[in-house]
Amino acid sequence: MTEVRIERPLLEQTDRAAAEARARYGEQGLYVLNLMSSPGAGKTSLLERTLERLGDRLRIGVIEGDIQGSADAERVARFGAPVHQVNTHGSCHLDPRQVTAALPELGDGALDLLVIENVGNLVCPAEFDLGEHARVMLLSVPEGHDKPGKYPLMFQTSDLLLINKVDLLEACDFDPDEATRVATTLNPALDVLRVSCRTGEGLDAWCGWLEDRVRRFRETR
Amino acid sequence: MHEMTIAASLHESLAEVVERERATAVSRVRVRIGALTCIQEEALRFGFEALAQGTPAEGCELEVISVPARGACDACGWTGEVTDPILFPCPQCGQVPVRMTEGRDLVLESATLETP
Repeated sequence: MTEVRIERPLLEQTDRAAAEARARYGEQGLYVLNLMSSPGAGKTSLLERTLERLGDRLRIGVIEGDIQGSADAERVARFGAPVHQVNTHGSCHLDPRQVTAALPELGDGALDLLVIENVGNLVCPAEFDLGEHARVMLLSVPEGHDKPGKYPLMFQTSDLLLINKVDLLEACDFDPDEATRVATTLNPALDVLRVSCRTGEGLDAWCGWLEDRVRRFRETR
Repeated sequence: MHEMTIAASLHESLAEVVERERATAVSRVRVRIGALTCIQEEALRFGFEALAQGTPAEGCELEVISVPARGACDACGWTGEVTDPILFPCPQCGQVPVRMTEGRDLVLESATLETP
């Protein structure tokens, strides 16, 4: 019997796959966004509204992550963007290797932006680097403004928080200032925008944020 | 339930070590888990045991070492253990939140191998 010292991070394989993927995306000039939220916060609606607004200015591909089904991919495909559905079969998050394997399914055409719609969940996806350049998370008004304090890692690791469904503010006891205060205390570098995918409020600001990120990414290449 | 992914990753690493050391079985595994990782020990044990079936690690003992969260205050220089990591205020000067310095560990520390 021998005891062997190993000292290896448990997510080493995953983190290495993510780092390799990010390097490859950089070489290809592909900006990658990891879009996360709880189920029903409006990730697919945001994608639809984004494709409507930016579809003729950016070549956008989409990878849809869901436990099962292809409903989201069908919704996005209506906007003409190349899309592929990944089913995780019970797993609560996407893995960088699933994204790399799905990318060829989007076809041979060059892309400027890849949006990965992660599995709806405020906990697990935050732990897994997919090789993305930015993380965008949605928090929708009906979920309540207390979520940043309850699910801190998601807020701490995101670059942009979109408070979605602000058209419902009057019907819900959601205090957007309080949500912003706690979220930016947890993560002082976090950008926060208020949007409604239903009325279109704030979507120009969101598209501006996104285009700016893609432009800056290209300039550093 | 991302503990299942962590457990799968743990077995992947163990399989490499078993092959490299030409071991026949793994009798004990020690992992280090920080308080900030949101890993539930019981869920990890469940996943580890389920995935161990039919591998050299079947029946092996999983030892979990919990690492408490520690923080440092950038305003007054306080350092110490952090009990409630969410928006923990500095016990010395009250600044919120204290910067976390330890507690993110998720490490396979060692394995005890049976060799022929």
